[in-house]
Amino acid sequence: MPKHDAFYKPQEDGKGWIRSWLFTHDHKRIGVLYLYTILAFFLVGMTLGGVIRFELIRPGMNLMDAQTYNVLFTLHGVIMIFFVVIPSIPATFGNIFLPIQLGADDVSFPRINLLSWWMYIFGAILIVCSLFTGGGPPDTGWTFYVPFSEVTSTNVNLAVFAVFILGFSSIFTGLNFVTTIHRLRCEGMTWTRLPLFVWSLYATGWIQILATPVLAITVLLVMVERFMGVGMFDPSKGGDPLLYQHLFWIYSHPAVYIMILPAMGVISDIIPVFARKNIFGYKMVAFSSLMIAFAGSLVWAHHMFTSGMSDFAVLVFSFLTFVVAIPSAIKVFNWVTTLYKGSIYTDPPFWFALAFIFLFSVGGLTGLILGSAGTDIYVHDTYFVVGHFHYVIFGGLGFGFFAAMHYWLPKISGRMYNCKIAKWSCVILFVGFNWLYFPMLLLGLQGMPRRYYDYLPEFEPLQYASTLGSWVLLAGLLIMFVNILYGTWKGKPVEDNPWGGETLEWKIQAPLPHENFEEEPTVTAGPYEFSDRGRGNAC
Amino acid sequence: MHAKDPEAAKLGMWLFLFTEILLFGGLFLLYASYLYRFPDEFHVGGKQLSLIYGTVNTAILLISSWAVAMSISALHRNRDSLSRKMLLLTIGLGLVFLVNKAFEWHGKIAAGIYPDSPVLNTKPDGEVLFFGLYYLMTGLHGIHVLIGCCLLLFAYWWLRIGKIHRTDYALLENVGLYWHLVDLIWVFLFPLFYLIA
Amino acid sequence: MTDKPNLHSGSFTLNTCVLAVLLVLTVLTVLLSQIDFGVFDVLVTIVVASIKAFLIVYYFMHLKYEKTYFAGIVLLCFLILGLAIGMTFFDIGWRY
Repeated sequence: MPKHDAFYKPQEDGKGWIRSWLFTHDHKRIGVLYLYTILAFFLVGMTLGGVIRFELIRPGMNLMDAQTYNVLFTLHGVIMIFFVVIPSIPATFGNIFLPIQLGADDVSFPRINLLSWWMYIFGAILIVCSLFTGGGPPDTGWTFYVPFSEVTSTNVNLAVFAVFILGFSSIFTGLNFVTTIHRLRCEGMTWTRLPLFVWSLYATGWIQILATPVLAITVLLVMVERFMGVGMFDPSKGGDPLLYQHLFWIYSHPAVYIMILPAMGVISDIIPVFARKNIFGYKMVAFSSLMIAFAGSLVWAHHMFTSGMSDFAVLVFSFLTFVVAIPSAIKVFNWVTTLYKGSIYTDPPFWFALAFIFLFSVGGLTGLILGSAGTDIYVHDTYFVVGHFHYVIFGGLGFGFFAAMHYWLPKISGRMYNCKIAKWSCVILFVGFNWLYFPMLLLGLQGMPRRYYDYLPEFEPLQYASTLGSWVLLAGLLIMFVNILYGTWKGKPVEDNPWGGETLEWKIQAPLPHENFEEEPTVTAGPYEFSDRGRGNAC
Repeated sequence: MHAKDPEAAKLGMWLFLFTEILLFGGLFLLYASYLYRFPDEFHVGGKQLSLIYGTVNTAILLISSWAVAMSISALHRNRDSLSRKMLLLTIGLGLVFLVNKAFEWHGKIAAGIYPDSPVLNTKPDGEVLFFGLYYLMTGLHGIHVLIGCCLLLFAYWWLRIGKIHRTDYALLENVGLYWHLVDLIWVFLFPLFYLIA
Repeated sequence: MTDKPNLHSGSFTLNTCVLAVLLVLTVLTVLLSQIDFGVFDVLVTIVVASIKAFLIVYYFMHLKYEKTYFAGIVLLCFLILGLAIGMTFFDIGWRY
């Protein structure tokens, strides 16, 4: 039996239940608030994606008209990117486990942490309002490219303002984490003893701080242009629309690393625990996070190879794009090498981690085809791009998130899900995922442009297959969510350290207590130095 | 409860200032690009701005920055009343800056030069962009001056009620940092708009 | 991690001297702008502005008294901003 009350149990401080959650300063509760709101938005985005896929099952109109289709893919993009993927791991598992892994009581600025969640909610309310006010929901795509975003009659103003607010929500999370990592490491927690999840959040935090403001000013400019017509991006007034694209991608490319780096951190934590072996090349894995963050900030214009940018810029940015592949590959090679001669336990988190490595590798390698300017000309703005980024973001971040859920939720709630169903859901997800997105890669190579409402008959077989795959994926998602949520609420109690982890969160009780540590811990060894290579059966 | 950690507070504030710098950075990027594209028109545009207003306002902000720094130094040296007076001086100078700015904008708007105005739209592209950037950047900066004044007022209040004192002054330091940032941005805006001519 | 309060701040004289230098530099940059340096016009004004910025950051913003990593992250911030603007010129420098 746990010695202390779980952090989610009411505390005797006279606050009502609602207040004790919505105005909590406890990083664990804020993490849980984020978790449920993000999952809710994921379900919305997932439904939108499913509806889009259903519309594309046959050529011509099946469910909706073209304008509705434009609105739906815009909303799918905005919701998935800004409401789900960008906060995802840092705001949920980062919030809950970063302070614990450092041996701290909380983050450096608990109130700003709460503010960050409230700004997220405020942004969410604005987005919902943008659906029903003004000229209807935005139809620009999630990139809000000018000149269309400046002239469309739909309600772009509210949507970009929501993005502005969400940007600051994300900045506050990053700012909090960087400060926490600098100031609240417990005794003995040197920089080279930080869990790799912490390193990845550190790199992510820096991108959030240094890149997000550029997006903020960019979307603000779209609003100002719509209200006042200053002409910054308007060619008839001397403005240059390509500068909008530069500004947008100066944020939005690094944002891809805001999405993927924390997932890489999760995998770097999971792999050694389930291989019962120290991570191969700790320093290189940690360093590669920083390297990805830095180099990833210098490649933004590879989104613009066909936009009419100068040829010289195409050359430079194409070269730099290949440079980012190096630290990403370091990570993949080091994970795989860690497995070599490990004594491997194949529990569900490990299955998701393996799926991550495979799907992320596909995403990364297709990225090279897009990063090389010559081939990009052929596949730019086709389904190949759509397939590529779903492999990276969904196959990468999404599966990283699922892995984190299966790894940490038993720790948070103190209850275990059904391991057998979890493994089956992983298999179904993996099959459904490839079934849905691999045909997209092929469609792209055949020339199917993205964001099109209708298509030529020769694309029908693959489009049809892709839609079938989406149903398999949906089924997998539903099975997984039901299993893990049921496990969280009703599963059988779990011991404090089911997977045999060595990082600090495994040294305290499950479910997590109100006070992280009774006394400040002292760390004397690295995060993955396992004393024994065997352990009991967790599931 | 945690022990207070002034270094964390300052680090957090610096990180926030970085976001402010990069927020303006997007506009500086646009400025650099359009200056490169339309050097002559920017030259003509800059000549139409009043060098007197710009220089006086620069001096005002620099002095106000000094006043905040003095306020912290005074607090450390147990001169609480001087510390508060220096804050009031800073707020006063900030308001004078805004009044000057308002007069300057008013003059330009009265002459028909404002975004999307009929007068401005007949001018060459480079000048349209120059004045567009002028309004965007000084406008955003003006908002920051206003916010800074409000923060300084809070700091003044906290000093009075003793929430900020000699050994617990991180709040004052952070408000000061914000105000210096406002000054820092202006140090670059001033030559870019008034002196490039 | 409790440090004893850091009571470092510039003396009244130091602050006032820095202000004097800043004001002199302001006058200087106005005077310099009256001279035509051709293509170096922008460079000259930016250099003077950067010196002023350095003085503000180093003395008024107390970077002088902070641990060294503060200077490192401030440089990082300006480096990233410089790279963002500089690398945009790979495009427009060869296009406009």
